[in-house]
Amino acid sequence: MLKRLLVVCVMLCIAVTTLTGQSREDIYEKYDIYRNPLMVFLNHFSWTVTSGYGLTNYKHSLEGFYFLQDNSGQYILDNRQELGPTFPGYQYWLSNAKPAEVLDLSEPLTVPYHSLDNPVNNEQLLYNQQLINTDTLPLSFSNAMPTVPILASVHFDFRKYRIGFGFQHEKHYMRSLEPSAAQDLIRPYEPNFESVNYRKWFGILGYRFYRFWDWNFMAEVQLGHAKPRGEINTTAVGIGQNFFVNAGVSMEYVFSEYLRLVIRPGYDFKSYVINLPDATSIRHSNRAFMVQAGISFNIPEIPRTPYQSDHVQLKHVITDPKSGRLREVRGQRMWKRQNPKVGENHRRLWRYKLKNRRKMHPY
Amino acid sequence: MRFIQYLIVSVIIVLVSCKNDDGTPPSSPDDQASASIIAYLDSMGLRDEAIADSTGIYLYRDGDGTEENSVLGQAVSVFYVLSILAGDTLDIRDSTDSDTLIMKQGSSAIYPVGVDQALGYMHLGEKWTVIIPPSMAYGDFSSEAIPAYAILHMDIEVIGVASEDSIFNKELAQIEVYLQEKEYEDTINDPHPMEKLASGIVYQRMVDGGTDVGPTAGSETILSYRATFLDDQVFSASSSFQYNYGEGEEVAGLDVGVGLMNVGDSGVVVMPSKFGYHSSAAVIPGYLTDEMVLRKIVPPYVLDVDPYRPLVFEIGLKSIQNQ
Repeated sequence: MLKRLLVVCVMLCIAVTTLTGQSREDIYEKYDIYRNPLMVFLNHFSWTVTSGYGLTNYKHSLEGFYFLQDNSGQYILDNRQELGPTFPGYQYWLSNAKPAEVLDLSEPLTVPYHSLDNPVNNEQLLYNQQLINTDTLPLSFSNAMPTVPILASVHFDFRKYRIGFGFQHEKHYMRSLEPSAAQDLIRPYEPNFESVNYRKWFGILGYRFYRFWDWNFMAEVQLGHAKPRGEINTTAVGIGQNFFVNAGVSMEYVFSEYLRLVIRPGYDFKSYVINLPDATSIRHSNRAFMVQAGISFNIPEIPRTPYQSDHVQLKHVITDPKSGRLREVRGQRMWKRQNPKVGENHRRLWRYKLKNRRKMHPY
Repeated sequence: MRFIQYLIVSVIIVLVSCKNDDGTPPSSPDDQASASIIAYLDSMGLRDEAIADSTGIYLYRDGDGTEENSVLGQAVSVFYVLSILAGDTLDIRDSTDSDTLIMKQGSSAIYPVGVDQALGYMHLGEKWTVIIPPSMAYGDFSSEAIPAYAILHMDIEVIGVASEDSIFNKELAQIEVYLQEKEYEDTINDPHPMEKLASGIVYQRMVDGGTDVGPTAGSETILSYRATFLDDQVFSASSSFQYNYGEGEEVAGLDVGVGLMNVGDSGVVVMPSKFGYHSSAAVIPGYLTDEMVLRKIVPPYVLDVDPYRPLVFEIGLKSIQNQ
């Protein structure tokens, strides 16, 4: 994993140094204008941090299983097994399938079992034993779980294309999963854990398909590895099951060359498999839709002018007071356009009247 | 910019069009049913005469009342005509039916629950008309004949009211007749004396297993049984039924009978309904019982045992595993 990451980084460096234009460096060489080479290199990369909210839809089908429900719980068993008077099933198949206590397949509230007082609409009826063969009654459980993601990524933009890699941590808050059939007979599946954490490592590919004034619209695809932690027993997950794909649109509002506001809705495609002790398995799909917001910034390649009296608006060259060398500095703060056109950074448009109402000349 | 303006206008149009025009929230099925019932009573000129129960049921009496032998809390036999309000007839039960419908009022043993509630107003010999809203009838259940949220119209005639004691005594008499027919008391042919318990349960040992091993509380008991009514109609049987004796898992009369047996014995237990399924449950109309069992509204034994039916169990005690 680390070796692969190192190879990718080296390739990116080579790509950056070859793709960035040579002509501008000629100017700096010609006039011996100093820029910190490390800062120049880092400036080519955009660092993004976002967070937001989403819903992860946990869904699984019990096709090929018997499903048994009584007042003590819910259990499944491979329906290729012949049923006898007992049911040696499994529970907690969402996260960590374990053999359950062998159940007796009796049917209380039939003859000759005891009668009920106040039998009509009696609550005990809801907890009567219910056995279903999913071949005759297809059954699945699903529900959308609130999800809080936190993303950190770095990418490189070349013309309209984007390439990068990132890391995302997600916390899924579990709810009960609703049955797809016989909702009046089958209780929802209650997970035996309140939340689960996901960690994702991924590569990013993107293409800017639209630009509107200060807005950029970038179609992005994330491909990588998503692994649940803790509550979901990953030792039972099948090999190669941790792959995920995320498709989304990154809407970026450009404050300046160094700072952007990012809003990113995206849809996640991922799943995992839980293997049961009897060599059967269940695939759990947990696709997600999330909307994240955050910032994306580039480390400025040149510093702000050190002279307080220097009111030059554009990037310009000064003589470094310490070294005596010519060096390029910027006249604007990081979140403002660095080489603004006349009046560009000074908001005099009517739509900024409310924002500038405290100024002497807000309009 | 123009695109954003169009987007904002579109969103506003969608939000406005989705708003309820008159500003009032949509009415629930119960509110609609109440309005329909009141409109029906007004059209029939019965609004002032009808009694409005707090559950939403409306009922009025046909003719004079007797004010004697109230149905409240008693076992009741009725004739009825059940239909959808201003709609099709669902079921009729009258003197042409071979068996009498008997059920217990006030014990959540009658479905729809609106019928149970309405019977509490009635007396022996009276005729009433009851209009039941969906919440006290079948709710959202629908079938070919019954639409969802149906309002029921029911004409009821109370033909019999009996207390629990009188029913019990009547069952004891029926059991006595049954025993005489079966000649269980003929000790010449059958040397094992019949045991008539004070509770009304009768046990007759048919075969002596030759052991002195009887069940104790909590012991795992395996037996075979054949369950019939007094008319010998079989309603349940099993060649190997396993349960824990003395823990109330099965009907009380069966437990009492097994307690009198030893391993290898065969015997017959006859019990009044009080020690069987007592008032069971009655679903009106009866052809909906299967559906109501499936919907977990009434227990499965209702399919096999009607209210107030004495039971006969022919038992063979196979083995006991004391714990």
